[in-house]
Amino acid sequence: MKLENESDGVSNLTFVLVLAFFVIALIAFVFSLIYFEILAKPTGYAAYSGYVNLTINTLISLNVTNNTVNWGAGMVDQGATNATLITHGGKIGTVSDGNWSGTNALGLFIENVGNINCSVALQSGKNATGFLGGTAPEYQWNISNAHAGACGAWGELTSKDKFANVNFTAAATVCNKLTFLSGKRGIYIDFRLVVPIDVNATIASSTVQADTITINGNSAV
Amino acid sequence: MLVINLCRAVLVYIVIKLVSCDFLSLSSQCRNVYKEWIIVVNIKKMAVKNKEKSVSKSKVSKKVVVVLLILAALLITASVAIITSNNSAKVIAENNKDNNANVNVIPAVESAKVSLIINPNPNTPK
Repeated sequence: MKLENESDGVSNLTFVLVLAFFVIALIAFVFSLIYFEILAKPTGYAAYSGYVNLTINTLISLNVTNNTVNWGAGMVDQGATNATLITHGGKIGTVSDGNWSGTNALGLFIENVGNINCSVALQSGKNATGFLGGTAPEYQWNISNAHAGACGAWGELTSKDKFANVNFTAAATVCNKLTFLSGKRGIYIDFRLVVPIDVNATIASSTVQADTITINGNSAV
Repeated sequence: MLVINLCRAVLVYIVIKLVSCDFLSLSSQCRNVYKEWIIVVNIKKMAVKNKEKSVSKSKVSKKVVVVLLILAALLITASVAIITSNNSAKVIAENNKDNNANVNVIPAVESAKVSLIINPNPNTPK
């Protein structure tokens, strides 16, 4: 037969064990809060099975301010074997041994207007023979900084600050890291064309000869 | 003999009076003895009660223990949920980390044009 007092409570030993279990659970809970930084997270309370997903898209965007190099119509001077047409960045183009106009022939001006650094790769649609024809034509480009330090890491060095044949078969990464900071993000692509005197033997006269340059911006290397 | 019989009768009378608790008819000495005896009995009863009280105070209420157990279980459950959800979030974040590097960077493609018209020089001998 139980006494009345025995039915009202539990022994001290049982209580101590329960209390110890409670303390351990409390410590585990506090530890999990601290370890997973639940209390320190700035936004978003996720209840057990959720999580906060924040995605900031990076944007690569190139702006070709001057995207057409147009020499207009012209011819090779009498007595010359060829004419040379050269663009000079933001200045008008120059012509030797020919009568083309350099007024609308400025170098291509490319700016990184995205929000991260990017690489720049160039590829032409034609080579010199396909573009101009004739005997010993030349079709070259020259990549240089329009803003000091715009290209923080150069890629292919053959066309850095000097004319080299265009890349026709595959794109060439001319700049590995073009910065996006305003006032420090522009590069020039200048062109040099050598038009042979006998070019009209292979192409029809008075027709527009054109080539398309593809400019790819991608993640900085 | 007469004296002895008289004393015996007195004693029997006293015992009867004690048993019947007739204070008024007892002598003062006899009442004192009875009072002391009553006090002793009361003290013993109080001691027993106090002992019982102290025993009941040393016991912890079952309700307290049950509440503690429920709280502990809730805390353990919450801890496990936090650990599980954070591990899942980390895995998702790590998976997204690699994906984001490729998916979120959108390459830019632009084009430019180089053009000219080449006319034949009429003075150049063909």
